[in-house]
Amino acid sequence: MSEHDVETSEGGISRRDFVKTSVFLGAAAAVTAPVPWLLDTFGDSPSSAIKPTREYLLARPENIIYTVCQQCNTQCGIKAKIHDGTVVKIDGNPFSPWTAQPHVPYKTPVFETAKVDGFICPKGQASLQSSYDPYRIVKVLKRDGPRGSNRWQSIPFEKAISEIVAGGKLFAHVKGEENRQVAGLNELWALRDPKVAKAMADDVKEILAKKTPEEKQKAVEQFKEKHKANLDKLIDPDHPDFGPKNNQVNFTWGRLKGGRADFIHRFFGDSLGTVNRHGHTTVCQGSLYFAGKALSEQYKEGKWADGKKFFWQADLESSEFVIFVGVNPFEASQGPSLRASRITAGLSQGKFKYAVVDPRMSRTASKAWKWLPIAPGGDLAMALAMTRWIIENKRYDAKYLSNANKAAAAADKEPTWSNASWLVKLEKDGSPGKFVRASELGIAGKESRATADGKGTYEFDGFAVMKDGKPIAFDANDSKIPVEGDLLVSTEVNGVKVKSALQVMMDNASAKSVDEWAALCGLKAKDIVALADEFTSYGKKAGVDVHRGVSQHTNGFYGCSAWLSLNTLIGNIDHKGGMAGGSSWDAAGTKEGQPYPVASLHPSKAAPFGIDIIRTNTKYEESTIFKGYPAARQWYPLASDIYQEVIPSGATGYPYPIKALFLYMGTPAYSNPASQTQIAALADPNKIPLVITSDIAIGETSMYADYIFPDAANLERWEMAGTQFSVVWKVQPIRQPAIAPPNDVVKVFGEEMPISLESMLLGLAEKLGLPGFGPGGLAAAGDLTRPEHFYLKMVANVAFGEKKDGSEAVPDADDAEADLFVRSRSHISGHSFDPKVWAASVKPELWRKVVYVLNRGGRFDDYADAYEGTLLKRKYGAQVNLYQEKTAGTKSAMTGKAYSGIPIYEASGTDLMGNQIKDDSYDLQLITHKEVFHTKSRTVANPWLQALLPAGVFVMNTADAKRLKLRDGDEVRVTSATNLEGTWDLKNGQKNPMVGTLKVIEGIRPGVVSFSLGHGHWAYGASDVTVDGKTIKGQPSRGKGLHANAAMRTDPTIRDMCLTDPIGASAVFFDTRIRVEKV
Amino acid sequence: MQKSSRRKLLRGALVAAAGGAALSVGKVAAIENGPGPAATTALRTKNLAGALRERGAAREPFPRPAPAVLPATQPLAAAQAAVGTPTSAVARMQEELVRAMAKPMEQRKWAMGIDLGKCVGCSACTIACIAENHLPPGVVYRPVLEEEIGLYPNVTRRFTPRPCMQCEEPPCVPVCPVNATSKRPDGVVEINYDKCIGCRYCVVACPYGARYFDFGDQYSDGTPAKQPYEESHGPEYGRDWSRESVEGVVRKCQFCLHRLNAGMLPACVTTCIGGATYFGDRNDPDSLINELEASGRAFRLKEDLGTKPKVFYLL
Amino acid sequence: MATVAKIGFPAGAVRPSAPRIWFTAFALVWAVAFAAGLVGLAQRITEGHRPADYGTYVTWGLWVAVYQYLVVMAAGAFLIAAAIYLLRLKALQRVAPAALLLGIVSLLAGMILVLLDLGRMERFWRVVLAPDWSSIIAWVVVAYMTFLVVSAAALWLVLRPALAERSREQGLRAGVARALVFGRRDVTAQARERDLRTVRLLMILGIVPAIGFTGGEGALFGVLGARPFWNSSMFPIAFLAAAVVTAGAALTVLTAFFAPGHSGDKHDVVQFLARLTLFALGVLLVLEFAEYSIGLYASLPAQEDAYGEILTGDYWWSFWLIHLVAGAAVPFAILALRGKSTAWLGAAAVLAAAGVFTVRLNAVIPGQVIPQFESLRDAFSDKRLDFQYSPSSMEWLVSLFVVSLAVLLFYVGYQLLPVSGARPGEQPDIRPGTSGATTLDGGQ
Repeated sequence: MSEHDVETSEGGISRRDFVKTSVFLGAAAAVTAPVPWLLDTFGDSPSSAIKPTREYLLARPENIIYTVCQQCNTQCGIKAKIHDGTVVKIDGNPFSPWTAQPHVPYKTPVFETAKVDGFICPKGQASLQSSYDPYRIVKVLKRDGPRGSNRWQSIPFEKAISEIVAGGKLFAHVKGEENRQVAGLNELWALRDPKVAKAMADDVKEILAKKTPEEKQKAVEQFKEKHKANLDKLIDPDHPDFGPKNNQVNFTWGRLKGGRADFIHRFFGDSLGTVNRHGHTTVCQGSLYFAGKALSEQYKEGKWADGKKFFWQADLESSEFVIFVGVNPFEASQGPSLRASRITAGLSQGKFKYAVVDPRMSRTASKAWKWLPIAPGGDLAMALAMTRWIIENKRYDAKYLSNANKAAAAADKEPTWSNASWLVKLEKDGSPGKFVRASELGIAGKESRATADGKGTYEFDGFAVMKDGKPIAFDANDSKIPVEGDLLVSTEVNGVKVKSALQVMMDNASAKSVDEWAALCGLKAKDIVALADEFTSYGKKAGVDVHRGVSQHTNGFYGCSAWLSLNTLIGNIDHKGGMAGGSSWDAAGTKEGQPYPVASLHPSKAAPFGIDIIRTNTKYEESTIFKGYPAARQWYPLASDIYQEVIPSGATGYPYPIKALFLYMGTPAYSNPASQTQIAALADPNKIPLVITSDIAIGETSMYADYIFPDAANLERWEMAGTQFSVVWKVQPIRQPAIAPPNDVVKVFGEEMPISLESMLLGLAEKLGLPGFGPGGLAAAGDLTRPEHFYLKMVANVAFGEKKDGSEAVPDADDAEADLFVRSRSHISGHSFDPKVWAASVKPELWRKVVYVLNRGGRFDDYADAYEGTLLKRKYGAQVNLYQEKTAGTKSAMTGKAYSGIPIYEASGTDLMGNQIKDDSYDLQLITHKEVFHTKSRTVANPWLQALLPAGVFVMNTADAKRLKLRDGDEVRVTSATNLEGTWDLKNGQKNPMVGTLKVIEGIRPGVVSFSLGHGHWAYGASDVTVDGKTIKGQPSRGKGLHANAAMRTDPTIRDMCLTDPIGASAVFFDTRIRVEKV
Repeated sequence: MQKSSRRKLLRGALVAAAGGAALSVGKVAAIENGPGPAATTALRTKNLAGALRERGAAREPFPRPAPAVLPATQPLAAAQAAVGTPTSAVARMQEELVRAMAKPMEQRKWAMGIDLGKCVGCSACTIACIAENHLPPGVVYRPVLEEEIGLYPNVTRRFTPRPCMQCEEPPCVPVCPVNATSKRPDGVVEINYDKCIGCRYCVVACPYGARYFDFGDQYSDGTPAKQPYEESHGPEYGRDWSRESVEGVVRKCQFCLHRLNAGMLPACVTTCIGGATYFGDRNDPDSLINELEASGRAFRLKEDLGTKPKVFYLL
Repeated sequence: MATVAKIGFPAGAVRPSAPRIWFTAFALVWAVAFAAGLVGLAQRITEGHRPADYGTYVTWGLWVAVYQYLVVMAAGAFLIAAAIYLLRLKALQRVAPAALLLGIVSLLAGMILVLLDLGRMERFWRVVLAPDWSSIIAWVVVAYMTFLVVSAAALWLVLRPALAERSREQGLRAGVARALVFGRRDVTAQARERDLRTVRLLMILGIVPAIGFTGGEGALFGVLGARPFWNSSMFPIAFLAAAVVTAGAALTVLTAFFAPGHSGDKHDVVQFLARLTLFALGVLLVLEFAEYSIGLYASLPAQEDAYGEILTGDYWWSFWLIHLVAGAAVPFAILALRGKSTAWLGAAAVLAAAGVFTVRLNAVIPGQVIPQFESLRDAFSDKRLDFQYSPSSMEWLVSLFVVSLAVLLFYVGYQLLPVSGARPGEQPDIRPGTSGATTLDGGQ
């Protein structure tokens, strides 16, 4: 019990006492009323009203904690309302722009906002049911049967930690695994000296840079000689570029935001030293993110760098026209609360209209000016049609596009500029290659310049534009000499054939007529033209907003690039009503002068190196395992976080095997396309010897784990949620505990805390003696023995702001607010909330600021701070590429062919070798969608949402149903070329039929069928599990509905993984042909 | 003779002890008007300031004196205007609500408007209502009806939230054999859960299907454990309803009267992500709800029945 | 069957002419039904309404149908008794006390069932003590109360001479008689005459509540503008016809199979009752036809759907096979072809009564299976929010309990009171001044 609790119970009247008292008073009133029941019976005249006898407790500020939702990735601000220690209601946080429009001024006292509720979608409201889920686990579970058998024993936390660290015959009690030796973390944490690691890393760089196999071989030999004392720490001394054995520990996450991300990277990267820390981006919209990265690469110090893994979204606050392509913001797509509110407001004020490109009539489409039911995969063709029309009709912003560098943009008061006018050198065959350098044209020489850090030099060679028929050399980042270029150029300069980037774009888009493009995407040319016309009729207050529908195809990278580039054509980025890129207050403290740069606060920071398991940080050609094309698996130098690759790569050992796999808040066995292949890889303990998950329940993937550590649910933990691209304010919503986790309380570093991801990592660190954790773990900033030590420092960074002088700091919480802070957390037990410990986690002068921020659930710019004139206040403010030189310089490891710097047309539905897959005997194209009531894998635990949509939907057009003689309500089975029997093989002896109920509708393109994600579960409470010999009955209703991911196409070249976009690495959901048969 | 006046006449015979009810009004008024100073004092807690001062904190992390009073709800609109934030419809409606609550109950008449052009069919209101009113499975005051309209490719979808219509001529009220349901002076049709015998005549009498019988089910039925949020007491009508106390009675939307008493808009209004639901006092000539009702876009469900719903829709 | 054995029939009483086997078979069936019913009752008491299949959308289920069946039968029984006394139907004199008893028992059973249907049984008293007079239910309950008082008073008056007579004997029944006679042992012709006049007055008085609540039951549905199917003025009238069918059938069966007396005498009574029953059934069918044809021709989808549900829905067979074929065509055929056989007529009555039960179900359920809004079906999912309904086992068992309880009550009353076992001369003649000439049980 914390001191606070003691004082409360002795001194004042706690909130709970007050409640009791008031209830008692109410009761007394009833008793003392004369002849109460008789009165009650005869007394009321019909017009009287029921008299209230109880105060509305949820209106009291001390019963409210502001935090952040995580049902989907929108990260809406929420207001958790607590009654008697239980969160009973969740509303929107009025301080957050996500959940109030306009949001409350940040300075508003929290006492005043107690009675002001923001809005929030049904998923957010139901999220309390994930905390209060009867199927949550509260103890560490260890596998008690074969993987996937769902037989478990609960074991003490300390025992689990010891076993994982020490390794050994951990599963000798399981038949068939009597002699299976498991490598513990102690063994896998092989390379512990950062200096050695650094030296090795540098030498590996040298190896990779060698051009010929012979040189590489020689360099490897030299490496082996130089590092012979430490070769045992490498995965394979003959391939030093694989890095140390540390890399055989892999941490893969699903949903992860700042805070926890920093904690995880600290453990696995900065302390344990593995490069294998991978997210799940490609299962969501990888190709979109990596298209955004390619479009935002900056040419710095002689190379393309700093491309942001991000994309732009429309500023719906002020936009007048938006095309949503494969986006469904009313239901998903970082939308519901945040974006639907803006869209409907704009609609009702008559100042906004929008078009939706989607094969299905989504909720979003239902209010659109135009719905274009495109053929799945046709998005790229449609974008090229739009491109052609816009360029041909000169409907682009010529003034904007002419600006070739920063200075030219600044002269026009444009925060961004493009490479539209830059000259691209043509290859011999006339295809565009790299940008031509000034020295190649002989218009300027190379020069040596100092790097920004002042430590070295680099060779500068300018780019070139054509201006009034003359080539001009320039520096893209020059802020002094403005350079503008002609836009449509195709010429020869000093014997070098060149075209401007816009010309390349135009020629590419002109490969086919608008009619031909229209035919390829299954739409009418006149509709596309009308759309292009409308899009270019609102100045900069228009935008194209893209998401999964474009991204999750094999041509997703090109598709997203093409669509996003339409924004560049009208130059709308950073403009009010145009495209926004998001901005958030730095919680990690990387800005100079911020109080806690958490990543550098480390006593002995590791230096991880080596090719990562999903082959994103190295080019195939540069590696020591290059043996011509095709490679055994694809390499993805333009992407990262390739979710579908981690487990199959680790299991097949390409480039090397994974020995310990940690999974967190993601479920590859359920969420990936063709995820039965992930199951097959996980189910065999000889492939990945140790699988550990941190989960709040036994999910579809964690059921294949060796150990499951109970985690804290969303309402019980910390995270810095960051922004969404469509949010035009600078923000940092902060997730913080509103209640304590129900999990067992354990002791780590002498501190009591409930089991969670953090305590698992702290426990492992303690056992391993890992630097960066425990006493002195934060170097000069003190101990890291509790999660709060870390997270509150991050909150302090947010509260302090990003200016060295502290001028951006938030005010101190006043006495009333500081007191409220404690009172509103009085229900959280001491091991999760101890005000003394919390206050001591940051410098005293920062504490009141931390309170101020936490009292509001994060930090948010005021509504009025969105714009500066016609521009966004928080800008992207950099170069935007129309032509992607870096992409053009990258080859496919499968075909050896270079990618195109401009999105060229490729039909969707190809394998990694680029061959079109033809499953012609399967007559329907399968796509997926989200209904607003559910997200992918977790909402099955929320009965309120189940009541809204208990079994998902599987929709088909009336015409198809008629043709197939199917009727609404029929039970149907889904089969495909790579799932002939239409089942989920769970590899535990169980095969679940892939069957669902058909819904026949008008609102979907004929020939296309779609199922809503989130149903058809086989774990997460849907089926029985055995723990300590006792069977816990599942709830069969959680298993209802169709989950047809197992029907999705596997790639015919590797077979153990779904179709994948070779460039942007998106896991492909929408390129499978299926058959639907009545069962 | 109108139904209501007929009822009045019939009820006149039973005035027996009507005056007695007034005795408890005084006590109740305090609660309706929010916590008084006494309640606030009771909220004070000791703090850790002492402990922390000993550690040499620059400024006390926690204050010794607790806030003297909880500030009353300052209408949000003012705060928004202060920093150049446009006043939102919700802020305006909350301001109007506070104004209406200051009047005697007889002088306000609540009405709700739902703009179908803004309803995105997300059911946030449905769930907000369930959480707010602690509704068990099978009881849903505000489902959202969905229809598909048209033929491919000329298709759209329409979403219609269906709360209780709070009819001016409620067919559900006269059928109740025990006076458990009635129309309040502010127009809300209420059900007294302490009186309802659960005969469900009103359920069949409602042309909108807006009344629900509480079977005593729980969402955690059939699972390993009951969950605390299901056991926590509901706040309807500003009373304290244990789970058991509302089993076997008929329940329905009451415009979140307990929130209105606290100066808050109904949960479905504040949680609407499309901003589609409006609420206010019909007797207030300056209210937004009146503006909307007169917009020419308003219609009511099953208007021909003559029930005169106080919930209208905008097309 | 301890009770049966113990009570038995006193020596000298007229032995029942019904074959013992009927009685034994019936007793066995009853015992099983009652035992099963108790299981359902236990479930209802311990688990509340949870095991029921009705929900919020179809909120009135089997119990309401059975309850209405029972109270309508009660009214029918009373109306038959009233007709006997007021119209002086000599042929039926012997069944009049049984009809009164049937009315009381049937109404009590119906009330027990509707009590079990309440969400809050413990608050049932509110209907009596805090009624809302604008509710038909409130009026119906008043009618029930009046009905019970009137029926009990009439029955007492009718039985009083026999009770007085019997009170002088020994044994259980005499004890009961002594307790019930309330000291009034005057069996003179004048006293009986006085009683009889009172009885007739009571009959007149009782017709009001009986017709009142029968019509009220119909009106309960009829006034609901919310439900187009129910919103019909035909309902109250149809309920009256149904009242006579059910009560007439019950009395037919009772007389045919269980009443003492020689088959020859009985046959006339049975035949009369059977004809009355089938006549009422005929009226009911005509009303039904009128209603269905108008409803269907009106082409209002909301109504059409409900009729469609009855005629072609999941339970089409209950309308066509049970109601029309087994419940109407067959009984009429029996009357025409086997009208001479008491047993056949009894069977016809059983069928007619069963048929009317489907009429009750078809009045209650289809009115609710049509959603107020079509898209309400999918708006929110729960087993309580289902427009499909088929009674759960608990509902059947509880209904069985109530019906078998009614049978038990009737049997006990029948045995303990001189309802049928009165000796010659004990019953008042229905004609003034001709005391003792004919007894109602016709036993001499």
